[in-house]
Amino acid sequence: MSWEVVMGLEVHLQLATESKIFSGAANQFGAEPNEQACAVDLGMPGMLPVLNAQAIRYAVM
Amino acid sequence: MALDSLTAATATELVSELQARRLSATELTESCLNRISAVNPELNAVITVCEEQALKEAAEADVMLQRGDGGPLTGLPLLHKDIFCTRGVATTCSSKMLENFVPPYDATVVSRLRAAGTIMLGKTNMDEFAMGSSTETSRFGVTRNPWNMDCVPGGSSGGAAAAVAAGFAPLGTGTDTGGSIRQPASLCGITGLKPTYGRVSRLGIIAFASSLDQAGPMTRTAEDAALMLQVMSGVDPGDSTSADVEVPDFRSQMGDSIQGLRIGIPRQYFSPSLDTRMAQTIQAALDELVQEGAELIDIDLPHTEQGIATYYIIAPAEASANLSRYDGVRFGYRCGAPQDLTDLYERSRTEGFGDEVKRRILVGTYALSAGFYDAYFKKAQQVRRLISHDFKNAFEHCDVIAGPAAPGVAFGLGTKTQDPLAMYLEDIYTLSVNLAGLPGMSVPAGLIDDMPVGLQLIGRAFDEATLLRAAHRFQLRTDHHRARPALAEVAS
Repeated sequence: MSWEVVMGLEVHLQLATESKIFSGAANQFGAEPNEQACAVDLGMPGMLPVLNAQAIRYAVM
Repeated sequence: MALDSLTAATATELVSELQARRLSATELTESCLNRISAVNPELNAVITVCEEQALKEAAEADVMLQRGDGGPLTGLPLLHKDIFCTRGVATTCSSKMLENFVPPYDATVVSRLRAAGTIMLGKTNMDEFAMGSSTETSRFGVTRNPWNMDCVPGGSSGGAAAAVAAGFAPLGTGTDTGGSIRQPASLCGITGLKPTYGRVSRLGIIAFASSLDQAGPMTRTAEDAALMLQVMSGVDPGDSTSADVEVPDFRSQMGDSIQGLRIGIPRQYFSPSLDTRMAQTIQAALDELVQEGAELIDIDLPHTEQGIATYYIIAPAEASANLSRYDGVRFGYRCGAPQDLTDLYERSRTEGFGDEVKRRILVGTYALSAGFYDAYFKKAQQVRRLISHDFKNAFEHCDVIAGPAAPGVAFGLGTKTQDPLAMYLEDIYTLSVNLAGLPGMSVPAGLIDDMPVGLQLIGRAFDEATLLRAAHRFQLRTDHHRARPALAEVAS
């Protein structure tokens, strides 16, 4: 019996945006806990996500 | 203007008095606060009163008016449905789950109306999380209909409707997901408008069903509704579902003639099951519009009957997603002494939510679950598109669609609470409009057994101006909107 090797590559990339994907809050690595969470991130009542346009541009690139 | 008619005057009349300085914002605000104090204990329309803040805002409005700097709404008292987040003021959605929730932000609608100079008197009662048609599911008790205290005011914006009808304020905000502005407006004899989906920002409005919710004005007249809608409307970068379309001057053409306006009358709305006197009252209202030059045209909305089933799959499904944030962790009600995470979630939600909310979360979760999603949710969305197409096709032959806003007048408190389906049928004329995302309004069209009846007008997307024009012409030649409940003579 001979085997054919089939390989796939799944690549995950962090998009280096300055703010989060659904809110305008900062996303700096190493910041103090809970200091970069805004009302949208916390899913507070009435809050709505807004898509980060730059994330789309980076992803499509 | 005599002070005792202040609480019966329209916003338009009051603005004229305020700008001419024949009336101060402070006098008007005090008058409204006194009326709330005297009458609200019986009605329970208002659940939070902001007396100190209101008087402060009134003083500021008076300074502006004195300088001649007043805008179209400066100095007007207003009540917000307790679904609109108001910074520093409790926003509860009439639920135990949010009983102590004080948002650190204002809804866009709230900040726009404040910037336009309105004075917030307080927050109005509603069905819990906007789920209901009678304002009987509130954590803070029922609201009574000022026309008959043993009857419901409708829902879910029942507090706002009752408050405006009882003269607590000339302006109220409501939200409408399946009829929650139009049905209470009809049952309380006031004017209520649900704008096109996307016309008004939903940012800061506690979400029930994200593809159906819309905020709108609840007032005594179409003219007043136009005043409010002007300020409330417009794209908001914080709400990706708000439409980037031009906001016309809603009032500029309101006085124009409706000669030749084609009013579509759906066959399905006037079926034999419609109460005879309702049909007669609506027909009489339509005859008035014909006298103004409008033309009645028979139209067909073939999927009308599927509306309730479609809505009661989609709305609960979206609600189950929107209400999943209430977990006792970050905000809202948390059960006492949780044993572990599961216990925290289970007991916080079991204790925090009322029965109707739980019912809808369960229905919605089921409709979205693997194995049932296609049969229920997906199918409902497909039928929704058919309903939307029905309206689109109808609007090839007419400019406005008309019919009853509700199947009857206000029903007795407690008479439908044991039968959810009977309650859901209250929205039979209104919910298709939300499914199609179109604008709709209810205007007072008369009384049956001394209880108000509303005429519903439905328009093309973003054509609130035509609805307002038709409603205004109707209100120029009829006086149903001037009728006041006997309660109006009580106190103040």
